[in-house]
Amino acid sequence: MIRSLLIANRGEIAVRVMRTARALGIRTIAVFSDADRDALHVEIADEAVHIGASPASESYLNVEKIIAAAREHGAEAIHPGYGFLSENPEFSEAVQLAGLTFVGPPADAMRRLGDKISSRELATQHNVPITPGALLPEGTAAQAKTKAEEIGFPVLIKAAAGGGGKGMRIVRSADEVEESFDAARREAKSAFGNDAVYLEKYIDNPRHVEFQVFCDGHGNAVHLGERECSVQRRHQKIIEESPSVALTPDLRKRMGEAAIRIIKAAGYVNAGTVEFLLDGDKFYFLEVNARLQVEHPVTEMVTGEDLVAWQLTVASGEKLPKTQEQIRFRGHAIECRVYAEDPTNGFLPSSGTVLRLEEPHSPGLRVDSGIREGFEIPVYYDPILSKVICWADDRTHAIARMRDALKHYVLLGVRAPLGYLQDVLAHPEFVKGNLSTHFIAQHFSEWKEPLPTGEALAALLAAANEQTRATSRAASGNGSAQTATPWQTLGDWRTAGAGA
Amino acid sequence: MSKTYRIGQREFPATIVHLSPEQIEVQQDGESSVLNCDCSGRQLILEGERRRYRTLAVRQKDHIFVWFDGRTYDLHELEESAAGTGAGGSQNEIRSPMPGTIIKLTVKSGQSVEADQIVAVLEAMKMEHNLRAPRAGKISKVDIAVGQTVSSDALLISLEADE
Repeated sequence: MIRSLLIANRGEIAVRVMRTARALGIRTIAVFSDADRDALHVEIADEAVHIGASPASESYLNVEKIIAAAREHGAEAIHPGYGFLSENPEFSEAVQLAGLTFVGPPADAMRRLGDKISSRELATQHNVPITPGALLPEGTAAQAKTKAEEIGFPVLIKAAAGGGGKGMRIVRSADEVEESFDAARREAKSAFGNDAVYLEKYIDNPRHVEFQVFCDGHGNAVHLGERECSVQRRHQKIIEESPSVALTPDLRKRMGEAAIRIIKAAGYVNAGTVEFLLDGDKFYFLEVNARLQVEHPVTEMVTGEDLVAWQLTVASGEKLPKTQEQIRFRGHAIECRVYAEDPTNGFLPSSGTVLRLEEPHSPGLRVDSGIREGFEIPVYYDPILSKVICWADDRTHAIARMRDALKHYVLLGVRAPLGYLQDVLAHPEFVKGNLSTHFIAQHFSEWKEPLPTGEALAALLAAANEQTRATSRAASGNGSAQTATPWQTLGDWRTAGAGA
Repeated sequence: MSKTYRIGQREFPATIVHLSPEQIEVQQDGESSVLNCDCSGRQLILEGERRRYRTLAVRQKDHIFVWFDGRTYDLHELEESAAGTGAGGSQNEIRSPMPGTIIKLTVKSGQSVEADQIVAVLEAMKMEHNLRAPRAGKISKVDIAVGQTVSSDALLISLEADE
């Protein structure tokens, strides 16, 4: 097993990786930018190296500085986390060239899977279904109709050259093909100067279901079940769960096997995720994420396995800790992502200082957090603050436990969608498991935080009023702190005003 | 005193009066609620007729974030009409946070001040404490002079009520 590890990341994932590394007796080395001097991941690491200015390009994305820090501090391996350099084949290569171990897949496997066209080819070669489609460079409307019938309605006609929805048409029956085909060509011609169009199967209400896979360097590959990540806002996952209510044991087996086929074909090593769109009982390969995923803890909760420990084991050249038959699934797990964003204002990223933080605790609950009280959320990076993950015997109880956890999560000073997530979990269609990637757009585009009424509203206003009084009293008494942060002033007032 | 809080797009005018240091009456939308208030800990406990509310609140600039009943509300205090005196009038008053001696006075009656501007310095327990204006406004009354000894919670300086 490796003995020292540099974590080339920040926030909750850096903290999470370090916790496992420390439990395994591995010395941990953090890197940090100017903005992260007081960050939690810096505090909990055994050693911490300042690598540059706040913009990620000068710190967390700077390959040379990270490798130099690893060498200087005697790190044997580098864990990239997710985001930043995690799926950059040049980084993986540079780490190897420096004589260090990269905790992730080799560069060539990353390249094979990272390119949309080559990964779709790989899928087709290995009998993994992809969304059917056909390019019609000089086709006629009649040819388009034949092709569309082959693919099956609805189909999407889109400009081969373009994007941004221009020249894009959803066609739901054979009668509509001719008109839409001609219109799409005209639009494509005027927008891109090229009237070639592409036909693709349109999936109306797909679910997003992905499989956690793992390969070692000895030819072993397993999957650790699926995660359903259909609840997305603008293509960003917000709630993930395992298992998916949409999978039968047979479908799970077929999808899991397909995931292993493609990952083995790519010469993959370490943790990866194979993403699929699911339409009824038909599944289509989407892409492979060649790294540890944000939502990996739901898999950990239902399997009882520590995926970071698996990553470090495999990176150390050892075999996978378990065979497919040894991997067991139990209960149901849900994850909610807590972003610094304002749900009452179009989910715009929110900055600010964490003035008050009380994380929930309960059996079966885990909070993977990268923040602490007093920490100022930098504006430079992904706004994820933490993830709340819970486990229960079944989905109903997992939902109840998660709602309770979110209700007892106190996070003041930075806006976060804790109330919004509670309402999503309580929605009757979510409770029934009727999910698709359009779930949020369908049910939550008009969401507003419910307000208390009557006496409860009076209490809310009274609480705000008391806070104002507290702040102004504290401000007038607090000479030492210039414009003291509210949590300081509040604390002072409590001592002074309440006669402690 | 009368206050209006904005939460999201909605505005809530209310009259909030301290019946005693531990008892608050809130009149809102024609309803009156009396709440017993315990703020001896980190949290603020409000106890009404119907139930008990555990809250936590912090202020950031002109926003008050209140964790209330499992949700976080962002309240923006819009304005105030100074109806009340005494315990309720904090935005119009600068009171002594503790017994001490005024060692410096930087404002006069009729002078305009900025929010957070230092208006006086109080020496207490061998420490100097800057006293600051709770908001921008005009000083209406100065009840102290340099060298004067003041008791805790004494009214020192008043601001003119906003129109």
